[in-house]
Formats: sequence, structure tokens, C-alpha cells
Amino acid sequence: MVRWILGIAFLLVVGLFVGLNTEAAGGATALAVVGGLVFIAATAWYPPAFVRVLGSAYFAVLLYLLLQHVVPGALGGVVTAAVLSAAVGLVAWRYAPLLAHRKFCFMVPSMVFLIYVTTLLMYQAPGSPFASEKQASANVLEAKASKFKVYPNANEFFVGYMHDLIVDGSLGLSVKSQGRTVNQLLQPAFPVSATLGLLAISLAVGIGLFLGVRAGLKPNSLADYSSMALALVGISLPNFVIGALLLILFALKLGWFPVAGWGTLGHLVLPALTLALPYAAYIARLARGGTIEVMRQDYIRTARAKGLPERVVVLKHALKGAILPVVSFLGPAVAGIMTGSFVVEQLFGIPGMGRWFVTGATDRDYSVVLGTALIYFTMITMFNMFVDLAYAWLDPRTRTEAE
Amino acid sequence: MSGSQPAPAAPVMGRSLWSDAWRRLRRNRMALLGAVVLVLMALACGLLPAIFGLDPEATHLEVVNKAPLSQEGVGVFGTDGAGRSYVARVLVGGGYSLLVGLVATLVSVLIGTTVGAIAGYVGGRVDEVIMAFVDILYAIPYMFLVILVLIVVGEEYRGNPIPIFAALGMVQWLTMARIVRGQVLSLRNQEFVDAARALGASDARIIVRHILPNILGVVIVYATLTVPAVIILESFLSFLGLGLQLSWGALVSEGVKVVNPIESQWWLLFWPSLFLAVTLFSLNFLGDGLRDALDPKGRR
Repeated sequence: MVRWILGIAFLLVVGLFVGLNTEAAGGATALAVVGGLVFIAATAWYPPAFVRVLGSAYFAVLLYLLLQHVVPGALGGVVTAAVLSAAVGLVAWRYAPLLAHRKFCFMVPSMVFLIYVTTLLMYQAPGSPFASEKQASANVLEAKASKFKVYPNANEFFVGYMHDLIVDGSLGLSVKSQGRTVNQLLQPAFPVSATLGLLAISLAVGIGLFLGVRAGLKPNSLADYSSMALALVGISLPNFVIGALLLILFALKLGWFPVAGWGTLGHLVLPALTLALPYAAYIARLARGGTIEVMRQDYIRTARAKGLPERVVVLKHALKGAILPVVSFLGPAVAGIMTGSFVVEQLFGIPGMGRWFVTGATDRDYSVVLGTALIYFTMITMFNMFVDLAYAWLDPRTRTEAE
Repeated sequence: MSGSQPAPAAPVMGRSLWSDAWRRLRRNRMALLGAVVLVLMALACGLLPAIFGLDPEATHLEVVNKAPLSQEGVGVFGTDGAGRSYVARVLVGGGYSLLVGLVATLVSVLIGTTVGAIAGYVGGRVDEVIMAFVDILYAIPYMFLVILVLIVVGEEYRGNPIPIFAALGMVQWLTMARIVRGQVLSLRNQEFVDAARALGASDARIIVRHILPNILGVVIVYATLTVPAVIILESFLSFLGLGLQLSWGALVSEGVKVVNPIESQWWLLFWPSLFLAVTLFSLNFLGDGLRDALDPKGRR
């Protein structure tokens, strides 16, 4: 009873706060925010069977929205896309684990909610996308606003944005890079950021696991101290300092790698290393702790007692336990690497998404900010879901009650 | 010397946990060294500029771009392109960096502990909902939230420390909430809590008197490890031109921008990096030491 009253009071406060702080249509906005919160929270009360249906339905709809623009007309276009998504949805309904369904049930409404709240916040900010331009007459401004779909209030903008996103798969027009859509801006930037991010996370896991397991197998040895000293350096320096040092040493003094830019493999090495090092350091510490813990377990003694060579004991039995804490850190690590890439992309002059996000935010380029945020959010959530599934697979203890 | 030790400030609890912890911490030389360095660093950044009247913004046009030690007085650490004394800039900037770290950490501890304790103590679906929201917030790049907050407060506050404190604190509480929730979840079902409940203690009393003292150690440890995270995050913001006007992060990013092979002004990068690294090293050593001392089960 008490928690219901508290919950309703919380929602009332949120609603009042939003309603009083938005200029136009305060009541409707407050209702939308509170309704969104309730809708997302209600997911926790859905029965498992419904979660399965809803989760796979969301999945199929998202897949369809993506496929309808991808499948060429010669292959049946929209119809093929619909059939394909429905089929995949059915397979997901039957075979995907409940955990994945539950995540999807939370993720899809919160994605819409995120767009809405971000829009509200951006409209709260003083200034407009056209603020910095030359004095223009009211007519010109109005014409511009309607062309770029920058509506006078957040709710109209949100409705227009969602409409374009769902029907046309369009992320809107950029105001600052005139005449280009956000899709056109981000299309070349996305693979760049994705390549850099994937390489960085693989490097971080590779280096971190190697150093950490090596240190954990022989605690308080030279190998341990040297690895942990390296890890401490990685944790204690901001990555742009590490990046600048690598730049001075390997690009300017030794000339092994190009200083900045994008295109060849050489361009990838320094930024990926810069981005990976702090996370490699953290992973090394986690893996060291995990290894020490695991090597004390009885089943390791058993494995040794039955005469397995040490290499097999470590690789087959110990490693699985040692990487558990690392796997649970991967979610935050990926989010951090993406954030870090804003800085690293700027330092090395890489044409990735980070630049668009930062300039979009300072220029009030609403659709650019929303577009980048949406892509980052989707990627991180998907990755987190895989991490959770991998964790449940690695550690049977965390698997929740039977479905 | 040991100003940051929790041992003397714990009259409520039985002595044993804290005196044990203190004994374990005293054996850890690196952690003690870290604490000493931190106190010295805080004193240097807080007091030296005032004592010697160092002005980070005063320009000395006769000594532009001088290397360290080539000049007396203002030029001990060298000067930058506007002839500003780098000693003054590094010390005053350090004060701001430390302050950001401290205040943002306090904000994050406050929010994180409250949310985590509610989720863990109430449990069930409330827990599921709160943690789902925490997960969602986790999936938004935190830089995005910070930049959004800084934009909402507006252009005229660019570089003003208060929105930055708030923004950094607001994104750093997630990990704290998760940790506190996990701890509370495991404490909630232990015998002493059942005993307190059987004696008729209210939920509020159980949380304040029985659960909070037990998670205090973990909270202190993670607060110590949050400070360096916040300082690094602030330096990211400075690098992107959204952070404080003067902080170690801002100085380092100025230094990074003048890196070139021909005429290297290495001191612009060297001093702030050195101070930043020493501080973060010390904080990490102290945090690790505190974790080993206060949370012997959580050895990592």
C-alpha cells in the first residue's frame, strides 16, 4: 500500500514538474511523460507468456521498419520484408530466451521515450537552430522552420519526427549542413565509428585478459607486478593524454603511423590502442581477481589431481570462471568506449559519429543530436543484451526461474 | 596525515570492523602514501596560490612561451603563449579539478545510495522497474547526458562549475546504485534484520540503523574510486570545449593542441598531466587499499 502511494506521489511530482516547466501544452506534455513512465514500468507486471508475444512482436516490427527500405523492389519489396519479419518474429517467439524478450519489452518503449524526453530538453534550452545566422526577416525564418520541420513546440516536433522515422526511415534534415539529411551525414560516419569501436573493444579484451590471467596465475610475481603497474597507468591517465603520448612517440618521432586521418590500416592502430588502453587496464584487474578466485576452487584441484596438464587446466577450466567478471563489465565498457570515441575521434581527426554528436549538440541541430543518440542507444542496448545472454550461458547460477 | 580515515568517525558501530580495517589499511604502504600525497596535493592546490598571490589569468607579455626554470618567479613551470604563469594555472586548475571530483562524487553517492537502497530493500517488481530504468540510463552514453544538461542550462553558463558538478554527479550514480542495491539485497534477508523486524523496528529504522552502517564501507570504497572517474570525465568535457575554463583537464587539452614536432612546448602538456596522473594514481591506490581493508570478501 505504502509503495503504491509513494509511486503515485512520485509520478505526480514528475508530472507537475514537467507540466509547469514546459511553455506550450504543459498538461499534455506532463500526461505524456507520466504515461510513458507508467507504460515502461508496467512491463515488470506482464506475465511471461505475454512478454514472449510482445517481445517478438516488437522485434518483428523493428525488423520490418528496417527491411522495408532495404529489400529491393525486384524481390517483392514491402511484401517480402513483411513476410520475412513475421517469420523471424515467430522464430524469436518460439526459441529466443525469455530474458531477451523481457529486454526488448523494456527497450522499445524506452527508445521512444528517450526521443521524446530529449526533444523536450532540447526545446527547453535557450536559443534556436537559426540563432547564430544573419538577421533574417520573420518570413524567411518561418519558411526555414517549416522546411527543416523545426516546429515551434516540442510535441509537434516529436510527432513529426516519429512519423518520418517510421514511415520513411528518415532521421530528418540537418539544419547546419544545409541540404543534407541526417541519414546522409551519418551513413559514412557510422562504419568508421563502428570499426574503431569494435577494434578497440577486441583489443581491450585481448590485452586485458592476457595481462590479467598472466598476473592472476602467479600472484605477487614479477609478471603480476608489471601487469598491474601497466594497468594502473592505463586507469590513471585520461585517454587523450595517452593518445597524445602515443602520437608524439609513434607518429611524430618514429614516423611509424600517420598522424591523423582515416583510410588505411595504419590510421586505425593508434586511435584504437588509445581507446582500448583504459578498458584493457580495468579488464586486466578484473581478470586477475577472477583468476585468483577460481584457482582456489576445488574443481581446479580435481582437474590437476586427475593429471591434466596445467595448460588444459587453465584454458579449459579456469578461464571460464576468470572471465565472468570481465563479461559483466563489457556492457559499461562498450558504453565507455563509445563515449571515449568522441574525444579520440577529435584528437586523431577521424570522420566518425562523435563529431556530429558534439557539433550537433552545440549548434542545436535537433535531428542530428537525436539521430546520433538513437544509434548509440540502440547499439549499446543490443550489446548489453548479448552480454546478459552470454553471462547467463556462462554462469548457470544467474539463470532465472524456469520459463 | 590520515585525515581521510573513517576509523575515528564511527561511534555507532562496534569497534571491531573499523579497527580491523584500520589495521589492514596501515599495513598497506601504497594506500597510506596515496592518502599523504592527496592531502599534500589538496593543500598545495588550495593554499599555495593564495599564499604566494599566484594569478592564473595575469599575462606577462615579456615572458611568452618560456621553458620551465628559464625564468624566476612566474616562470618556474614555464609560461604559455599569453605569458601566463603555468605554476599558477596548474595549482588553481588543480583546485577546481579536485573540487569537481569531490562535489560530483557527493551528489552521486547521495542519489546512488538512496535509489539503490530503495530498490534493494523493497525488492520484487519495484526493484525490477528501478533497475530497468538504471539499465536504460546505462545504455545512453553518459557524455550525451552531460552535454544535454549543459546545453539545457544554456550558453551563458558555459564553464560555470555548478551545472558541471550537477551533470557529472547525475551520470555517475548508476554504478553506485547497482552496488548498493546488491549489498542491501543480500543484507535484507540476514538474521539480524529479521531479529530487528521481530522486535518491531520500522522499515525506516531498519534501513538507517541496521542496513546503512553495513554498506558504509562499500560506499566509501566506491566513492574513492568515483572521484578519479569524475576527474577524468571532466577532462573529457574540457577537451571537447564544454568543461571548466581552468582545470587540469582544460590545461592538458590546451597542451595536447600545441603538440607538434618542430617547436615542442612540452611543459604545457607535461605539468598538468603529471599532476593529474599523480592525483589519480593516489586516489586509485587509496581506493584499492580501502577496498582491501573494508571489504575483505570483495577481493578482486
